[in-house]
Amino acid sequence: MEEQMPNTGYQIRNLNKFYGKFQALSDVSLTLPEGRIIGLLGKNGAGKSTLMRCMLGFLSHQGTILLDDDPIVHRDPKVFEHVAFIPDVSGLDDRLTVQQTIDYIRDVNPRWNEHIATKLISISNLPMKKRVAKLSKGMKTKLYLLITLSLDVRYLLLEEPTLGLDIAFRKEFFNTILGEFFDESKGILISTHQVEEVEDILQEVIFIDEGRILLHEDVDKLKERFRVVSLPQERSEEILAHKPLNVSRSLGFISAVLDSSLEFEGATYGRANLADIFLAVAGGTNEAV
Amino acid sequence: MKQFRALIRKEWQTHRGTILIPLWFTGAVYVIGILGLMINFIREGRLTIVTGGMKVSAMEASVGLYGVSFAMLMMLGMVSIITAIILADGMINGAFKRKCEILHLSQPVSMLKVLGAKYALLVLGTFALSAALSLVNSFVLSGLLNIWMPVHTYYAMVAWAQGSVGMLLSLLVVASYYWLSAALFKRKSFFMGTLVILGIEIAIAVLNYTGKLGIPSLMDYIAKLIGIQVHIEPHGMNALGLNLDDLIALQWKSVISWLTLQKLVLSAVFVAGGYWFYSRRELT
Repeated sequence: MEEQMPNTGYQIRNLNKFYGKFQALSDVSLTLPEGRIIGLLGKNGAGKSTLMRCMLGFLSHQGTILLDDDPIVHRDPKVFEHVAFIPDVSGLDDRLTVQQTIDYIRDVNPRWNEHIATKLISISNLPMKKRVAKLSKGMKTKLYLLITLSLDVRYLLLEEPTLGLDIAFRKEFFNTILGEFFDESKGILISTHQVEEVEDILQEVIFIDEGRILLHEDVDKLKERFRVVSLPQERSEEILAHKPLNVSRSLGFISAVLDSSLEFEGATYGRANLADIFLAVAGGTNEAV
Repeated sequence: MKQFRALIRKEWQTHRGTILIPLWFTGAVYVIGILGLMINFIREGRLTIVTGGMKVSAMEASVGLYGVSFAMLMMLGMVSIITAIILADGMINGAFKRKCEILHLSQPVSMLKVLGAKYALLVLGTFALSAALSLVNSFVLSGLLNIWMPVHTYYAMVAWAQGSVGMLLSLLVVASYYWLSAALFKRKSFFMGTLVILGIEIAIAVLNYTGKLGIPSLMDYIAKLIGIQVHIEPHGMNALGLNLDDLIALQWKSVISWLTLQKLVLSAVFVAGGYWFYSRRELT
C-alpha cells in the first residue's frame, strides 16, 4: 500500500516585502505546521497583514513561501484549494443577498462541504433573502464564518476576524471555529489585537515587529520562560537593572515581565499573559498590541 | 463550467441595474412615443403621420424604414456603449471600491475564468440585450409604418442585422479600451482613460505644429473605429443609379474590411492588456 506523505504546512524562507522604499517584511523565516493554532501578534503596522497577504499570494514578494512544498505564486488561485481566509467583518459583497453569497461560494468551490454548510445554515438563523448590506456586523461575521467553514480546506488564516464585535459574538466565533473546523490535520493562523480572547486557544505564538519576527514559540513554554515580577518601588533598581522594555508602577509596587530564571528576594511572582510577554519582548504600551 | 456559470450569475446579480440601462432607455422612449400618439389621437381623432404633403413611393418608404431602423439601432448602440463604459469600471473595480475584493479573489478560480465571465457579460450581455431590444423596435416600427404606407418588414430586419454587426464592433472597441483603462486605474478609470486619449491627441497636435510631422489625428481614427458609416439618401441614390438592395449589398461588403480587422485586433490587444495589468495587481 502506498504511504501518504505528510503535509509539511507553510514554510517561509527569507521573505522580504517592499512597498516602494519601505520594507514591510524583513527576512522572515517561519515554519507553520498542520494541527496547530498559531497566533500572530504585533503592533499596528508591524507587518501582520503583509505577511498574511504574501502567504495567500495577494502580494508579490522576495523569498520563498511553500505550502506543502508547492511555491505560492503571486495571484495564483490554487492556494485557495487548501487555504481559507477571513479578512475582517466588512469583507463581504453587500450587493448580494445571503442566499446569493452562499450559492456563489458553493458553486465556485470544488471543496464545498454541503453537509457542514447545511448544519451551519440551520443553526445560524441568517435571513437568506436579506441583502448583506442590511445585516448587522455580527450577522455578517456569521455569514463569513459559514461560507469559510463550509470549505474542506486545511488551513485557515484569520486577520482581525472579530474586530468591532461584542464579547458574546467574539466568544461564539472562536467556539464555532474550534468546534466545526479545527482538528489535528488542520492549521489556523490568527492575527488579532484582542490577544486575551485567543490566548487560551493558541498553541504557538509569533511576535512580529517592524517587519521582523521577534519570536516563534510554543505558548506553554513561552509562559514558563517569562513571569511577572513585582517589588516595592524603593527596590525598583533591582528590576530596572535587567533593562525591561516595559514596566508598570502601581500602589507602591513596580512590576515587569522578566526571564523566569531571575530570582529576587521577597518578590511577588505572577503568571504573565501573552500581551505582557509581547510588551516585554517588543517594548511599547498595552494599547499597541 | 459550473464555476463560470456561477461567476456570470454573480456578475449579473451585482451589476443588473447597469446592464439593464438600455432596457430602461427603450422603455422611456416607448412611454414618450405612446404619450405622443395618444395626444395626437385625442387632438385629431385618428392616428396621423406628417409627410409634408409629399407623396411617398414604396421605394422611398422602404428606404425610410431602413434608415429609421438603422438610426434607432444606432441610438440604442450609443446607450449600450455608455452602459459598457460604466460596466467596465464597475466589474473591474467595483469590488475594490466596496472593500470586498478579497472575498472574490480568495476563491480557487483561475483569473482567466474570473475576467472571462466579466468580459463576456460586459460585451455579449450588453450587446445581446440591445440587439434584442432593437429587433423588437424594428418590428414595432415597421408595423406602425404599415398603418400609413406600404413598407417591407424585410428592410427593417436587414437594417437591424447590419446595424447590429456595426454596433457589436463599436461596442467591442470602446468596451475593451475602457476595460484596459479600468484595469490600469483603480479609481476614475473613465476620466483617466479619456485623459490618456486627449493627452495623446494634444501631443500629436504639438508635434505636428512644431515639427510639421503630419501625424494623423487620433480622434479622427477613433471616430472611424467607433462610427458606422451608412449613406441612405433616396435622391442621391437615384442619381447614382442605386437602389436599396444595392446599398444593402454594399453595406454587407463593408463589414469585411481592413477597418473591421483593426477593430478586432485593437480590441484583443486592449483585453489582453487589461488581463495583464489586472492579474498583476497587489491586493492590499
